[in-house]
Amino acid sequence: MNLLRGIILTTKKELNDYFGSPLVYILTGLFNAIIGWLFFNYIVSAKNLTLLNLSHSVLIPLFGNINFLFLFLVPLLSMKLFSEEKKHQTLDLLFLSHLNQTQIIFSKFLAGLFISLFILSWTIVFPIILGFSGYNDWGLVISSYLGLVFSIITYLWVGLFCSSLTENPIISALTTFCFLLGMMLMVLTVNATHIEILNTFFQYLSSPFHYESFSRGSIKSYNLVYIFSFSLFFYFLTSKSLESRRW
Amino acid sequence: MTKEFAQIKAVTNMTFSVKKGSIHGFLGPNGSGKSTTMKMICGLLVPSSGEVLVEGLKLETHFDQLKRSIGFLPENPPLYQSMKVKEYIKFVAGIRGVPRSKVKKRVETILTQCGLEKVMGRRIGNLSLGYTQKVGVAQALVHDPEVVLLDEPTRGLDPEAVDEMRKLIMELKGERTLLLSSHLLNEVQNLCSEITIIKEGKVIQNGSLSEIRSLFQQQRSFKVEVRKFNEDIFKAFRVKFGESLNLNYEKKNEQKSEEYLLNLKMPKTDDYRSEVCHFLVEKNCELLSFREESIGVEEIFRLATAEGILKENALKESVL
Ligand SMILES: Nc1ncnc2c1ncn2[C@@H]1O[C@H](COP(=O)(O)OP(=O)(O)O)[C@@H](O)[C@H]1O
Ligand SMILES: [Mg+2]
Repeated sequence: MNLLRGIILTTKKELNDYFGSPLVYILTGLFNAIIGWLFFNYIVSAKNLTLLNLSHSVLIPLFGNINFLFLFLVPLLSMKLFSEEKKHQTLDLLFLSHLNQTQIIFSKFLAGLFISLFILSWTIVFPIILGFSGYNDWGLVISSYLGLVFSIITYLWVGLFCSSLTENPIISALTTFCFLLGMMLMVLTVNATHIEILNTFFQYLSSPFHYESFSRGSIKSYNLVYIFSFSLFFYFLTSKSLESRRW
Repeated sequence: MTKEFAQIKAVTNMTFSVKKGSIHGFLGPNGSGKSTTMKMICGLLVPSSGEVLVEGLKLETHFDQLKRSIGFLPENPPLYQSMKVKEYIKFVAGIRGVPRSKVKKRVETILTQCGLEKVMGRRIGNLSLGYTQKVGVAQALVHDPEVVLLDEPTRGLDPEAVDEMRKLIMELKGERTLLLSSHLLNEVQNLCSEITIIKEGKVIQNGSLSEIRSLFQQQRSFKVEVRKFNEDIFKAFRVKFGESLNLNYEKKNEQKSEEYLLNLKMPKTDDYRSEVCHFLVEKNCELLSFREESIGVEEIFRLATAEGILKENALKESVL
């Protein structure tokens, strides 16, 4: 009970911080403006739009772009989570509190997740607009959103880890971004080599590949295994990185 | 315990104990390892070797239990600049496990105790250094810990704020065990019953204040300003007082008019003050001021290290 209270308090503090600064509002506005513009473009440019191909010509590319944009957003959202606390030495305050390290990491993660979902939540208007004109493949919408959430979770863990490495938020954002972009490019490069085993291996390691399963509406168990082990791995790294401060 | 960083040995074989319920001064010049030691006592750093015991329990293995009874003010207080004072104290109370029903009362008590009511609605980032430091102390006390560590709580404060901080620390006396670090002896001498002096990561003196003071205050030191002074007077002084008084003089060059500064060292056992004044007046030196220097911490460190060397030599001789 007490532990839950600690996590809630820290998460709440983090959220107050987010909503107290203009960054989140600017990002939300910018993000939705871009998505809105893309949405409009897809609809206008799609030839002979029917209810049947709405998914393929509008929604799937739109969600793909949302996923891509979060590659830029998440580093900006996660950059301060640990680096700022390190800079102002407030991490020591948390370490002396009754929260243990796992709980500290999770409360940061929750705050990051919450704020990302807040930004994502506005995009629900676009499928709803389509819904008014008779679109009804809600299964795809739901699985796409699930895919986005899972993508964001993997991005966030990378962001948390990078943030725990440095006292400088900018460096944290840059390393997160480079890592995530690297992960994406790696797949493209390996794809070009046509070596089957390497292909499969690197595809499995990269998060965009798993996102595709979701957007196609065919979620496999290995997608879930991937997200779980990816998170666990980066949780582990973050926790080691924080612990190393004491040595 | 010992703490080594990548290249530096910050703390070497440091051993000392702090009595329950006492205020213990922890003195050392900048960079001597005070902060590092205090962080190790709080469990924020792990010693390279050695261990910290709190009431007989090992800190490393009982950290979750012991951290509840430790309050710590690091040299840079862990403050969230964007939070308001009250909000911050409430937050700390929450994460440090003050029961939910008692938070409100506890926060109010601590704000009053630390003299923060006036600023409780202000953002921490906008506070003056004196108040910032007080918020830091409040943060360390809010969960009512038995052991409180304050790392240079008066550093950088103006005299008035130092006074208030001293009063605040005074009020904590008796209830709790306090470890107070500082690089100034006079800062802690009114507060602490026992002190530990360290230098370059080693303990050089450890004991009650009166013991240590009597060790070092065998000599009194005075600064005398005169308008006239010269080699002849100096020689006459040497003739009159001989070896018992140690004097040297220098010309103050920042003044347009001629002024000299005399440094006078006098044994604690004999009082020559009036004789010296008489002498200076007789020689028409135009005495301007005569004041006693309280023994500086630098002096103590100098003496203390010399003392250490003497002791070592004595030991060697006795072995031989
Ligand atoms: N994290 C660190 N890494 C490397 N050296 C450090 C670190 N922290 C402190 N030191 C070094 O250890 C010595 C003691 O520092 P510190 O404990 O801060 O001294 P004090 O608080 O007495 O001024 C200094 O020489 C300092 O440079
Ligand atoms: Mg220090």
